Amino acid sequence: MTNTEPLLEVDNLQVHFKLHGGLLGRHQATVRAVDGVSFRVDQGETLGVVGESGCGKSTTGLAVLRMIDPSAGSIRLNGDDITLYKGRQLRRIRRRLQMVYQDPFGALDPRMRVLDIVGEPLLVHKLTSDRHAYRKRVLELLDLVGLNPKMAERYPHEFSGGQRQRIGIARALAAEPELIICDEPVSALDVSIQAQIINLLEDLQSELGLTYLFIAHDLAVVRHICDRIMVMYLGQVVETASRDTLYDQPMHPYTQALLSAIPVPDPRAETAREVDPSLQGEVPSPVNPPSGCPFHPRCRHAHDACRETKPPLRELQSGHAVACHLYDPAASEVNAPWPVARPA
Amino acid sequence: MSNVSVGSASVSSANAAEQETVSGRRRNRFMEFVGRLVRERPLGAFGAAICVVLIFTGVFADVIAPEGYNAISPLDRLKAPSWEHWFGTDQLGRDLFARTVHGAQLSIIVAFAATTLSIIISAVIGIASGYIGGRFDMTVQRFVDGWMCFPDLIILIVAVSVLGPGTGQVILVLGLLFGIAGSRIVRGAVLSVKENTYVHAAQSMGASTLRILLRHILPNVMAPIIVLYTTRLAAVILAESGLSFLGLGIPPPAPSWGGMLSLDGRTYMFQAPWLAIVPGLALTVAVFGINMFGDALRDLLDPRMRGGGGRFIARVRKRAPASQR
Repeated sequence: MTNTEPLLEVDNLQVHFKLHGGLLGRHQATVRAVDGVSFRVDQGETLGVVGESGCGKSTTGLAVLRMIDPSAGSIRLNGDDITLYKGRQLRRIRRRLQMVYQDPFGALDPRMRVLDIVGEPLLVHKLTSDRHAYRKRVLELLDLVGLNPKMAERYPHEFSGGQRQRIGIARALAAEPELIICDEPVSALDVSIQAQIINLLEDLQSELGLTYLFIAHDLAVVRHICDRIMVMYLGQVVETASRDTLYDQPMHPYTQALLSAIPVPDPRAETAREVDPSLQGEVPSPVNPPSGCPFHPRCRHAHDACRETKPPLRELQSGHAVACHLYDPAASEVNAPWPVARPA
Repeated sequence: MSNVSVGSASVSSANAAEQETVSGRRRNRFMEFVGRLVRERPLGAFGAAICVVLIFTGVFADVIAPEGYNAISPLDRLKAPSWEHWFGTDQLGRDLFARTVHGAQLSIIVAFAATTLSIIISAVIGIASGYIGGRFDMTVQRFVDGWMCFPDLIILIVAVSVLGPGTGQVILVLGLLFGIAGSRIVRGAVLSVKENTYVHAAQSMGASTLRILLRHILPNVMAPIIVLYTTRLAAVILAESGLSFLGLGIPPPAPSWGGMLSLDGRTYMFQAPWLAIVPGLALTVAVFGINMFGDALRDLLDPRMRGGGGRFIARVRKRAPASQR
């Protein structure tokens, strides 16, 4: 699927928030929430974005959706540069980008019936001609996400979390978007319901050829649904790879640390498991990011170069890119990739 | 697009029962609400009954007291209450019962018109200011601050002396006065509602601002607006009476309760005390009833009170020690 034109192409995206304070509201500091992120999503694939809280993964999603204005960089959707779209043009482009939210309780207007919630994109973008077609389409969508169409007249508070998430997905599908941004769509759900929703998303993808940008912090969920994974740290991409490569051969010390933190279902293995100590402590503040590599204060392999220069994202193998000095081919002291430490 | 096998409820068999519940739901909800009002807030139900009587009296004033409020009968001056004149008569021999009933009509007209005007002003200013936010919100709110710094009575007196007395002027001035002050409450509600994910969802869907305001923000701030409406009704009735008492409200011979208290009531307080007592009592009962109903409405519309959740918890707590033993 990599030979085709990318559906979404993000180049050097930066989102900086200015902090104002003091008596006159002067500019005090800048939060570099997303600091130079580039990636592409191909038609029909699922790109996972993972990282700790505050690493800028949700902000990246919102910037792609143009809910937050990027400070720099470009966002291209199917060849259209949507970075600077405004007003009516921006509202029209939003038909092509839809979002599934984390909180299934807050994402649905409590005063609206399911019929109106799911059908709202149809009305907003004038996609149905009459009342009858509208209703038919909404019932079809409910059916598609595994809800009983008879529930169309009910209000959101009558549904469980998993059902509400299905309603949210039906709404996202209504306008037949090109890209669906899933912002932690299952992290607020019970584990058993998570599986159902993940399966639903996969089934819909194969049925309708959907493309997902899947933001999550649960690595097990990401492994299940994503084709490619992008690991973010402090507003920057530290590693991108296809799913299997990333889980089998993580290269960046941060990715390795993250993977070592996945619990193992076997209790004996679980007690023997060693979590990389670098994940202890706090993520540095994006207001005042560390010099050089953003991960160096927590990295156990950090050396002088890491403190001084920021490692570029280098593609080492086809489709596997890492931003780490350990893999710098030009470095005087060559640091060969160390044996991959995987928990049992 | 056909059915995707996802492992969920079966999809077939739509039936007529569903259609039936849909049409009946609205009516059921109203009856349910009345039931809850009576059970959970009996005083509020009493207030609601007073409101119903007040509105009924106002609407059918001409039927209840067909002789009108201004039928002068010099022979019957200052008669005490009797079977013929239930509330007695005033210094011109006008039947006080008829005047009180027509006063209810006047109060209702002024109260509903001024309150409706004020709520519209509150909603427009509050929603725009709260939703748009930023500099616009800041500027608008400083104007509201400035307006609220003025004592109400001074604004009223100035406005009425400029515009002259009359029902329309009173409605306009009271509506503006209460509307601007009330916009704060609506703005506060909008500020909390607009942070909800569903508003964000509507924005990211590409919905226009107008659509978001009308379809998402307004329905979700309706509860405070309804409560504001009921509390303002009573306040407007009182304010109109106050204005009429001061001679700045609705000019005689129109039977405003405040005016009746001031003109006839005060002058003949010792010879004919019923002239002051009756309109005063009418005013008190009306305001009491509306306030009680408004309080009950506020409690019942609070989502935390919905479905009798509070009572359920209380019941569980009571039962808990027994099961522990």
